[in-house]
Amino acid sequence: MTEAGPLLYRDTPVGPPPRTYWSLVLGKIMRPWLAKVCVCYIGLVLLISITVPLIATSKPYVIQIRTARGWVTRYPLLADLTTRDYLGFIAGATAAGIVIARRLTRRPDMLRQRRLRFITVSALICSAVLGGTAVALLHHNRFDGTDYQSMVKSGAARDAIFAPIRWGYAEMEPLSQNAINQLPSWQHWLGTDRSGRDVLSRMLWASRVAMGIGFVSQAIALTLGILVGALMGYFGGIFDLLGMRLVEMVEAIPTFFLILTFIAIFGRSILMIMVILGVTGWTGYARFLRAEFLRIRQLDYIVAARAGGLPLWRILFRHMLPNGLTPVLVSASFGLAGAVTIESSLSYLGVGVRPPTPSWGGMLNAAGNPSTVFHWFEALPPGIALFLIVLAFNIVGEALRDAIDPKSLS
Amino acid sequence: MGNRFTVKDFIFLCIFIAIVIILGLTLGSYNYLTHQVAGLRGDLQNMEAQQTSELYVLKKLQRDGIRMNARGTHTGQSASTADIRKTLPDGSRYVMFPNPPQPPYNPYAKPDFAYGDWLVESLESEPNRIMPYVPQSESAQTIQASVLESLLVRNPLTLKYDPWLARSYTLSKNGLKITFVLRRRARFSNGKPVTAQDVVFSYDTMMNPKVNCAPIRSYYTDIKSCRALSARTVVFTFNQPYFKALGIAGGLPIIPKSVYDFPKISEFNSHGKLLVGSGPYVLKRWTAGQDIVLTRNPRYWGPRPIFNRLVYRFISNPQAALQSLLAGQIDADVLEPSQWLKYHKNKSFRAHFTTYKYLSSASGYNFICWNLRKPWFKNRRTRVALAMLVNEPAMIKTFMHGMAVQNVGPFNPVSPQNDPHIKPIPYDPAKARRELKKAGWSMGTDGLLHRGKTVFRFGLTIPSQFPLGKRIAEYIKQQFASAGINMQINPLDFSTLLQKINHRHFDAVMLGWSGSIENDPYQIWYSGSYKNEGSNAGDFDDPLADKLILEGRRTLNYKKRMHIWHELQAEIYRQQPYLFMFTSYDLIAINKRIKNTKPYPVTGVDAADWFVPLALQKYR
Amino acid sequence: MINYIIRRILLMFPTLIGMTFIIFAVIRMAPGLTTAGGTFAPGMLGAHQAQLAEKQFMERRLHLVNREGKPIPLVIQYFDWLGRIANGDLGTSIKFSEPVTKLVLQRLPVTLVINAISLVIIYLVAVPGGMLAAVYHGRFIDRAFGIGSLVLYSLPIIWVGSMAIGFLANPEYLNWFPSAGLHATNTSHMSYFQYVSDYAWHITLPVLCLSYGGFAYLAKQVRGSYLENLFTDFTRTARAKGLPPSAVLLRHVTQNSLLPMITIIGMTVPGLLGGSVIVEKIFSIEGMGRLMYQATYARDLPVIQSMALVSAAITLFSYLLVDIAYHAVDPRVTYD
Repeated sequence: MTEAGPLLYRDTPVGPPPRTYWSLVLGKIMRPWLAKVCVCYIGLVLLISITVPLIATSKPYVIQIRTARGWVTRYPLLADLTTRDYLGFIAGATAAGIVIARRLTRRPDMLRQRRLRFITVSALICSAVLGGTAVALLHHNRFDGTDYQSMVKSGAARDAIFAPIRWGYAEMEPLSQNAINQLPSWQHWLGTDRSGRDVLSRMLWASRVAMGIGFVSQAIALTLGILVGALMGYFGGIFDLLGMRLVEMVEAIPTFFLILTFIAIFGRSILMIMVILGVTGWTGYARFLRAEFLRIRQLDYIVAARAGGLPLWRILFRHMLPNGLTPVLVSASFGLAGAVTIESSLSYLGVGVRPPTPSWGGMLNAAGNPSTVFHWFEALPPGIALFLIVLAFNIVGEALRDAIDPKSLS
Repeated sequence: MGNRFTVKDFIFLCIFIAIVIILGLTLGSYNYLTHQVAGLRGDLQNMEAQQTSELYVLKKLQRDGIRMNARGTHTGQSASTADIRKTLPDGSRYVMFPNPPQPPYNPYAKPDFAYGDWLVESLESEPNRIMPYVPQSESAQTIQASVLESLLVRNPLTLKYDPWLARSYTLSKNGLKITFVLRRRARFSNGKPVTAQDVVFSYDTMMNPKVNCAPIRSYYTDIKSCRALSARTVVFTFNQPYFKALGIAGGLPIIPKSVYDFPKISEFNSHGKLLVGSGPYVLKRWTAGQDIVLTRNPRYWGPRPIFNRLVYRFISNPQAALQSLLAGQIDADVLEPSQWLKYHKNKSFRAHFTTYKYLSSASGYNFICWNLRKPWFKNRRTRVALAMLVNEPAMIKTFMHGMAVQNVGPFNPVSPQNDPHIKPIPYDPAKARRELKKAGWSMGTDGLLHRGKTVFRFGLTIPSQFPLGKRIAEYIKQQFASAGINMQINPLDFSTLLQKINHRHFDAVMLGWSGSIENDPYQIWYSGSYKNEGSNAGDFDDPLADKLILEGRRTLNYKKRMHIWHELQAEIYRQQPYLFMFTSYDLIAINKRIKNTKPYPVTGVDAADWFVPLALQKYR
Repeated sequence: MINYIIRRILLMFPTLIGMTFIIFAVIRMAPGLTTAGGTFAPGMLGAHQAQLAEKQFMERRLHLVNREGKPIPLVIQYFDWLGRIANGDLGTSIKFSEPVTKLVLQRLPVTLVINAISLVIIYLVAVPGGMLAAVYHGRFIDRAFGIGSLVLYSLPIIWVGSMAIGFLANPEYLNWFPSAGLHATNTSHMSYFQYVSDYAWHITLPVLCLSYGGFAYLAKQVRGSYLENLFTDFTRTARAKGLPPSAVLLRHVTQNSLLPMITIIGMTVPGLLGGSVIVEKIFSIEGMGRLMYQATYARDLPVIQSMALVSAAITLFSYLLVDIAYHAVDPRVTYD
């Protein structure tokens, strides 16, 4: 356990890094290989959903167009990124930044410097985030419908570097070529749908909708559930009674019915769907958190904290929450799976996201709707994508559940 | 010990479950028995009705005798005179048919003709209500066509008007007055005779502002009055000569005053399910979500209806309808182009089903209506440029598999109103961009076209239950985007869409009109129709078109009128208030046991002519 | 026992009343309440008057004004609505122009029957499966069952339904099942056996689509509770006594593991109701789910209000039954 070495040169004895509760849990999660694969898959889908405007679009990165003034260099793809794309990049960069910052400041012999560095890095990240958000929000989305590929073909442009997948989610093959419902080919790696659009590109763009709605709605639900559950669990008594009645009332209406009710009332924009899914899905988290808080409340350290006179919010969120959060995270993983499923079901029924925005459920509807001829090769990709992501979330959730099972933690 | 779940409890549980299952089965058999009883009752009613009508015919034969004609077959009813169609000395036209006219493709004359069997068809959507006059979907009109009747009927081959409920009609020389004499034997399904009072009542109900039938009412605005001269004589007077006068006055569905005279007229709008008329079938049963069943009118005054029952099943998706057709659960189906392509050459399919493909006058056309009050569509050159951006022929070939014909104006290609010489606007995106520039649009820094302060960004409203419409809209969106126009697609429920159209709350809307043999363009194209709740949704206001419309309506001479319509079509097409799209073919497959299904050249198939020979009859 | 039942029923009412309040509040928050989509087409009036007439019509339909046209205060609206519900009047649908009660009564049995059959099938498959997995736990059957149920749980209903219809109910591939509806045309001319078998043939695919997702959760719970009870003292005693393993399993272990199985009925019912919406849309079955979907599309608020309430009532009723069964199986349990 200890390494031989003069004690004078170090502040603290060296040894393996202290095993916190979280590191024990994380270690147990990562051990089964299936969970690792699933986490990697989820990460891959997230990465795709963030970077898809750079991967699958019909606008080239750089192109030289012949104008009256000669050959002019333009950068259509970068010029046409929208606010949403920028927000996605910022979100991804922030997450990556935080992970990297934590890894950098992990070494045990840097206790004081660690804190300093962590603070600096966090400050840098925050300012970057705020600055980037400001830029993104003030940015005006540019609308560009020019057909660059035909320009290249006809010779009006040259030296164009296109994205790996040359189709956006709405571009159709010219109707004169009658290229609808095609099987996979070299031009279209997964074929075309019934309007002549590239299926692979639509699948990648649809992952954006699915992941976006899934994560944001569950974040909202998590916040709501934690608030209500914490209050219920900590105070008990009348809060608990009323809170549990509220939870029962919301749970009694089948989730789908409740969601349809809200959609009929409030409309169907993406933001509204996120909020609706969040507002209807918080009850599970509240229940779990309440159970955990009821258990933790009587433990010694919490009693000591109360006796010591710590303010309420500090007890709740600094001391109780980090320890009570684990079952909620398990639930969150399953909740993400549920949110993706519900979003695709809504799009399948036709009350989800609006038309040009692709969604896996919408693609399934177009392909597998019983009112039209059935093209099975169009119904396969979105179905498989949905299945895999839900399976991944479920496996991760199961692994988490096994990991926090108190019988197996040593 | 006392609370354990022992073997005794298990036995009790099993007995309990058995009782529950037996209860369930009993309830189920109750349901089944109810179905059986309903069926039996219906059969009994049919038999009784059959007996009554046979008795009635026998009594008539006894009274009037039988007249044998040259072919040795009997006409069955007293025929003291032949059909008359002549011009009277004062210039008015007089038409008298002592007996109701027989259809040109006469089923009764076929050697294997037989009464009986059911005709089961499918309807795409369930109608909300089937009250007469109140605006409704095509499904409701299909059902009403067998239950309600009108004074005249149009011969599908000669396209002339023949008297049906009326025995004779007289059209005055100036076209302003039509006098109808009703048949003595015409009666409603409740036994009461059809009198002039009922005709006047029907007219009054139609014109009553409190009744929700504004779109149909606008057709009748030219009628000055409708008066009963005696128990069986009715006179329609028109404000001005109108080419469709005979069609309008003769096409009014006659409803019985004894049934529909509600104390509060608002009940007419809210009732929804009362359908009583003089037609060959009566409404028997409407099972919500499943089907509507019409049975033979036992008291029908005219030639005995051929089928015992007309069943309309609600099958909203075409694939299920095709499946039902193949399984023999429905007898006729309208196919989608992709289904047609797959099946109509298939040998085993043709062994069991007769297929027809034709253009009928009732098909109407599909279009996008521009709201001409909105800033983007005010300029004609812009509208023409928009039409140039859409490759119609390729759209038809790809999305409709070639099963449609491009429209070049507001008339159905098969109708005589259509001028076949008008050339469609060619697909030319480059020229479209030049035209847009000429119209004053210039490309802004955000990639969209600008003209002054107006940005070329608008919304296209489409009915959401129309998947083909969505594909077309997405295609058009892409085409417009390549020219710098941002079009957003708003799918809406059909009833909400109609509301928005009524209130003119739209930028552009994708719709279709159904048609008839000769359309009166007044409701759709006349500038005044915008205010009068007519169908001029886009506020089309063109003096030349107005002049041609008014003139055409007044012209009673057929050739002159067609010439005016051709001019009108050229003008409307030039102005492009709509983006005219296409008229689709009717693709029909009918079960082979049904005979005499040949379609008429202009109007298509007519189910009233079909019959099933005795040997092939399936339902009793 | 009767005591318990009565107390349990009494406890249900506050929840139900609270639910009506929530539903009422949510519906009243709708923006543009009186311009919901309708089929009202005005008579010969101008556009402005048409709008006014439509607004008045909607207000009367939604009971926002009384007969003379005066607006009713919000609180009175709520109690008015409660009174009408207690009388059985759930309002009039805007899309169908029919009383909602009639629509619901037509469609409710359809959905309930399909859900009941699905529930039975879920139990028939999952309980023996869970038992097997527990008895052979750690071995291949257990693992396979675990993975299989996980996979089944992750399959989206929309995909399975579309593929099922596309392949199994399609004349182009295998025309084994019908693709829409619940009855054939000529039901009144069939014998009872034909009627039942026709119904079963129509119902197979929808029930399959509804039930496959429920196996996983139930099987896992059954397995868990069986595992708990397999290593207890009384099991060991029973085996030591010389009872055959099947008797031990089926009699002693089962009756102690019944509790979770019963709880899950309560949790599966709302899930089945929600799944009905999709299944009924895919297979064109006229049930409650389809009504809800059509009402959402047409923004038919009276129907949506009533459907939320009816489905909540059904769920609460199933909770009630579950609690009673709970108490019957193990009277040590009291409600919480």
